[in-house]
Amino acid sequence: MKLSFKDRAGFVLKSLFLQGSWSFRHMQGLGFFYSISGWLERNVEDGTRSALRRHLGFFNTHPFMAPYLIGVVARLEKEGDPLGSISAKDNLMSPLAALGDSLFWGSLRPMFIIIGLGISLHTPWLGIAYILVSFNLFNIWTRWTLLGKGFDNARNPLDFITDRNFRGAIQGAQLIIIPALGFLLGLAAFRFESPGVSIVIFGLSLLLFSRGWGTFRTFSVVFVAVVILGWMGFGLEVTWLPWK
Amino acid sequence: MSEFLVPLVITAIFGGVVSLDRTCFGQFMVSRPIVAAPLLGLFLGYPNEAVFIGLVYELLFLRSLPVGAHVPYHPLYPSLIAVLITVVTARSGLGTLQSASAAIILSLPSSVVDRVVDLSWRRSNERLVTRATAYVRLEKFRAARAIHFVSLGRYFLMNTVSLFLAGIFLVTICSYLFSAYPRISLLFAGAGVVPLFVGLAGLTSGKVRGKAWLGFTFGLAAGVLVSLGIRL
Repeated sequence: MKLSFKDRAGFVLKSLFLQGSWSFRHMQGLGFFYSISGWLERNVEDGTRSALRRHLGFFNTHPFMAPYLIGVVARLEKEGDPLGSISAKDNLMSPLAALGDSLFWGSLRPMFIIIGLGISLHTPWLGIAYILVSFNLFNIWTRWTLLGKGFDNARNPLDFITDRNFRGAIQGAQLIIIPALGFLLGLAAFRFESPGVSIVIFGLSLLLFSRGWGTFRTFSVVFVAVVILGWMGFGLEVTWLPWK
Repeated sequence: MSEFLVPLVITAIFGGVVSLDRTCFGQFMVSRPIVAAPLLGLFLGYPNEAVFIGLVYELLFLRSLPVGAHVPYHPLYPSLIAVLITVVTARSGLGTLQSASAAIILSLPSSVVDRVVDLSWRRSNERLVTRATAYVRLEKFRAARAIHFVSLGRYFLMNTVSLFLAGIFLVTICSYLFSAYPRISLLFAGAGVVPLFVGLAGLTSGKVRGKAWLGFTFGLAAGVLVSLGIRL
């Protein structure tokens, strides 16, 4: 059994709206229902109403990984295995969410943004275009591929989670992020006309992260620090940017 | 009046559309400040300052992640309002182009409004599944699906209106400050650059451990050399 191109494109398009009605109670529940309901109407001949109600409840996973579960549920419902579809959905959404958070939000997004920011310091619009194109190629490619994998592996959906490629991708991205961060810091700090200012800024940054400035939850502290530094009259002008 | 109203309306509508990308549709990164602020700046005629604003906000908020039910502070409102303040004050002769730095600082509190709007939208969605279930029971499947889009439209409207109101409030305050204290943009000029480095430092601190220092130092050296090379 194979998914047609039209069905696949439809699922991917609908998965883009997965969080359109996010709530604390059902999270992406209505979004998942929206993604799968058309397929269920067309393919579950007996008991369409109960099939739809089965998938109208709590659902939460990473939005880019959700097509995998959509694929699994679509296949199992078509094959007449409602219990299997519910169990696969319930068991897999949390591991997929954790995987997606660390891969996309924790690794790939910072990596693309940091590289893009580095490019932006030289050619702003190229950096912005790079961020948009590179990240979204991954976004769409992941959705498209995972949907097919979910549909094909519906009987053994756990095989996919243990795939080592994911761990490799996360480690690869982390490997790029750190030198890229150093590069960006070096690039930005030494773009000032005054060497003294560069050294002060550079030293401040090094001091901050070597002392373990770990989180930005206390951003009010940052705000106060910024205002104080401003009032102390750092006196910098924004003319250090190359495109001014 | 048009110097103020036209950019404000453009900002509110643009922000409403772009905010959909944050949660509701796609997550294509269009709502990230490094993309949204320059695009708005392009529409309003000040792209260079908007790139600077986007860059600073991107670094400040890069580590705030939407994991599970956690709704982090988002930099969309402050970045768009900072662009709006820069444009309005520059056009009306109150500020200079350097007022972008002051605008970054003064618009930062609007991220609180952004979060409040997002949270209230999420709370208002809690009854939607019950409504959809009722429609499914009546076999009105299309109506059940349509509820999803009602929520999407509401998100757009809530963000457009909130941005409009927050824009009026903050632009009025900034216009007053810039006219009463003409040197304020100079005082804040340096401060606008500081978040950029604080952002970088915050971003780096959790990640550089053990052997990673080697890669970090290599990147740092390369960055300094490239920077000096470009200047020479």
